[in-house]
Amino acid sequence: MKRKTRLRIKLLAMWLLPASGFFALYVVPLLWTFRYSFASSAFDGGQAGFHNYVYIWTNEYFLLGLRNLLKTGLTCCLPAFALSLLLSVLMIRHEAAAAFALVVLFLPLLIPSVCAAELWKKVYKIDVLTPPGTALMALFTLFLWKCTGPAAIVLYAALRKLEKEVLEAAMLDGCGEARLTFGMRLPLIRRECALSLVLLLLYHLRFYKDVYLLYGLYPPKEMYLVQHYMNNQYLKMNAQYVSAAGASLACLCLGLFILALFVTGRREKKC
Amino acid sequence: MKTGCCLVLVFLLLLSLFPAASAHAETGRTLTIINSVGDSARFEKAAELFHARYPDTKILQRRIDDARVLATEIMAGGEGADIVGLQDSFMTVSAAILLKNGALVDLNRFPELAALKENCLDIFGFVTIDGRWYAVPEEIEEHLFRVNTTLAEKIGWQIPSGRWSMDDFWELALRVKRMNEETEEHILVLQDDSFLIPYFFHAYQANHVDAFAGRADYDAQAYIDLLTRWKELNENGLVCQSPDRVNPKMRADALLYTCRCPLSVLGEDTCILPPCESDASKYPVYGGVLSINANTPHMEEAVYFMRCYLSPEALERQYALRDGCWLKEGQAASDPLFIETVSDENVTLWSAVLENSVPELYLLDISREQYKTLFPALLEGRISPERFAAVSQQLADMALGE
Repeated sequence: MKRKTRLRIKLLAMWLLPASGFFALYVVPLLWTFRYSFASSAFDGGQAGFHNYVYIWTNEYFLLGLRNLLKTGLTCCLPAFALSLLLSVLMIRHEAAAAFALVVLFLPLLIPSVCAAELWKKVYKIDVLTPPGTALMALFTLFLWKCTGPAAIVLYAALRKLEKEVLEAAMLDGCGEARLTFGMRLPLIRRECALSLVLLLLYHLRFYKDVYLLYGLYPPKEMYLVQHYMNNQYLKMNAQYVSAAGASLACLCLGLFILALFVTGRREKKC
Repeated sequence: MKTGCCLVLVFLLLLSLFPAASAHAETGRTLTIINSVGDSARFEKAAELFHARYPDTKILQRRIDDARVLATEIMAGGEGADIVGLQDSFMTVSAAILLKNGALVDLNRFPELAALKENCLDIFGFVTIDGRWYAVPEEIEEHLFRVNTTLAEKIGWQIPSGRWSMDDFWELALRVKRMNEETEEHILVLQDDSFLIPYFFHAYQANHVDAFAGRADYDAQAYIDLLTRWKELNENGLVCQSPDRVNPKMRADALLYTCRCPLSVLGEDTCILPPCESDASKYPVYGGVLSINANTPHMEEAVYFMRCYLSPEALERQYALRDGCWLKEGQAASDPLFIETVSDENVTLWSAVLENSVPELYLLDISREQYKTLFPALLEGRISPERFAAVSQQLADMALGE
């Protein structure tokens, strides 16, 4: 009994350290952000109630940034996921080339964003006059080049873990390559698929840095992301709007997370 | 072993905090001035006057080049940023936007400080927006037009003595164009080495883009006409820029020359006022200025420092050769070099521009985009003036509408 209690205390202590770090570095700043989102400005110490939320949710450019974030998220993440899936299957089928492919896929992560952005600028001749189609294509190809690799590596590792006997048995039963991939491999690695999708979404949220390096503070309208809005408001010293936008995004993400939990929970129950 | 190492590291960490804490305790009150460009004599005198009243308050000067760090320091308040030096062309955000968002203090709120303006010429137009006086000037640069008198005589051009209009300038350009066609000699009507964009566009921006009110008129017909005419001047080889952007020099074949410069550069050259779009137009003036951070915990000291900085005693030590005489009386006589180097006519013109000035505006990335992409594309014929205006308007709408 005593040993059990001691173990519990040890576990609690081990949990407390990271939990307090998480609380201090994430939860407290988030609470401060919520607090500042109700301030009238960073300078007069007054309260604005929900005025800042009304302002940003009726602001043309905040809404444009949000729309573009969702649009580019869909147009970049889904093709990147499909491509990473294809690459991982190809690597499994050609094990000899896999080691070389892994290096090539990992390389974009090691190249500084500034260098990549300069290269893309030269290739696509990017400036304020670039047609929207070309600008979008530049963004799309940069995302694929940079972010497909890590997702493909995650999927490749998952595919390698699958038991060969099971797949061979399926092949003996007359299962073709397509059916083997879509009917067996993918369902077996669905958790890793979800992980690589989450990874791609995270990369997409961080992709603002690359968009900024390509187009500066004011990109073509099609490229204007909500992060542009927040960054520009920060430079203009409108901390209250940055906080309101940050709090709104946090709520949106939390809502999506709860929705995803609800949907997956129901599906698990059905299974 | 591991525990021992950890303990030693923690001890060292704690120890490293002590010098900082003790240094802070020693300094007491500190007035922090960020990014000042003021010359030492005036600054030293202001500091001396300041310390006569606040002997225990230390004046600390800091330099912050990163716009985000600067924004953080200003918004955070605390001890970091009491007085802030602003130079629009080196900043990401125009002072007009900071004033609108409440980051800068309206100095008219302090009658004793405002009263000091009476000692000076009316030079505060370029640090006043919508009636709000937001800064004390430190240094000034203007765009006066230098004239090649030999060429002016040769073409029989009567050099204007006061204000003259853009229509007069276009007429002059037409006359030079005709002369170039008739003779073998090629004359340039204007060599323009203004910062980023040509002078006429600086003047248009300063008069027609109101960052404070959130309004830009880039898509107006007047702007498109200006672009069209500028393009024509380029196509006819009537305007140019100096190939050496670091040390620009007036070419012998240029009739007029302009660049943003201090008074000392003009010396005794023959200068005239820049042409104006209309009688109501004002001249863009650029300057390094000091503003008070609205978040400063040392408001009283900051205001008093500004009073010292604008006092006649400090202004008498202002580098008149570079910035001109701002005091109504006495300043020029104290600097013999100034009297020998700069002509009286140029001093009068310099003051005339200052007394009829607006802030030279750099609206976020727009001037840079115009310089980097839009002007080359316009002059190479890749875009029309209408497209130039539309893109500028779209950028301005974004910058002002966020």
